[in-house]
Order: sequence, then C-alpha cells, then structure tokens
Amino acid sequence: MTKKTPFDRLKDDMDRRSPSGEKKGPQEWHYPELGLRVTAESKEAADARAAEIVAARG
Amino acid sequence: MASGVYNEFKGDVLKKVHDLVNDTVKVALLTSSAAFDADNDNWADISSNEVSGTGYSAGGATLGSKTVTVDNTNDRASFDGADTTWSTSTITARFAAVYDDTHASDRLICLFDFGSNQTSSNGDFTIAWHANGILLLT
Repeated sequence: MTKKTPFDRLKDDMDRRSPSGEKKGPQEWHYPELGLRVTAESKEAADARAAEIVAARG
Repeated sequence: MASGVYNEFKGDVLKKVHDLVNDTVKVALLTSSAAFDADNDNWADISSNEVSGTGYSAGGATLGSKTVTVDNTNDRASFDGADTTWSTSTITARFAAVYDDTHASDRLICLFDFGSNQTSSNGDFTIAWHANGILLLT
C-alpha cells in the first residue's frame, strides 16, 4: 500500500469536515488517563462507552 | 458452540472489509430452528429462520451508538452499541444475529444464543449487551 503523504492526510482531514469546519462522521476521542481511545459518532457516545469500560474494570 | 463469530468476518477484519462505526450494523432475531455454523457467510444464509411478530420488522433493528474502543490498560479492543429494544412487541426468539447491512452481501458478524427462547408480550424485547461489548478482541 502506498504510504500517504502529509498532503494526503490533510486532504483526508478536510474531507471529513463540513463547509462550516465541523468534523463529519465518527471521530476518535482519547482518554489518556484511562488508557482508552474511543471511536464514536458523538462525544456523548464516546464518554458513555469510556465510563462503561471503567465501571466494568471494577 | 452455540454462539460465535463467523469465519468470513474474521477474514474480513484482516482484509479491511468493514468499518463498523461508519457502516449500518443490524441486529436480527432468529427462532430456535437456527443454529450457529461458523461457515455461514451472509445474512441470507440464515435469514430463513428469522422471527416474525408484532413490533418486529424483517431484517432486524439498526444498532445505535456504535463505538470501537482501544483499551491500552487491558490490552484489548471492543466493538459495542446501544442496547437493542423492540418496543411494544410480541416476539419469541432464541438467537440474535449481528450483520453488516452496508456490505453488499450483508456479511454476518456474530451470533448470540440466548440459551432458551426469550419472549415479549406487548412489551419491550431488549438485548442488553455485555459491558465488554458485542465483540472483544484480546
């Protein structure tokens, strides 16, 4: 597979944004203090999943 | 094994076939006539055993609030979604099949065996997914 150039990555990022600059589609949210990275449609869904995993750890 | 992950899906993961957060993933209910066969590939392979009942639409329900989580504390990753509910339904089901409805062939992902028939009678039929998620890769 051809490695993406910085320009390709920038274009990918722009493609994920609406004309207003808001990101479209799922995004990844990082919770470094919990060791979690959650990809979800919304921050609320990501927060809920992170909380569920932490609760399951006990 | 009465529940499991389909072999073709395991291969698909290695071939970058699915994007489970972006794709439409469906949850369908099956009668006790179904059985888990890891060699099945597509929804059409098992859909003949789909349930019918009040409050249930053929093809199943769309999984909401999908997430893919990388857990660097426990060294694992999971796929999860909101609990799936058929409201005001009258259903008898033994299995739940999860499949990728965006895939051209509606690729099967996994099958869950409830262990016995589960029913709703003019009420909610809810699948409460495990806290570890629908799929857990360790």
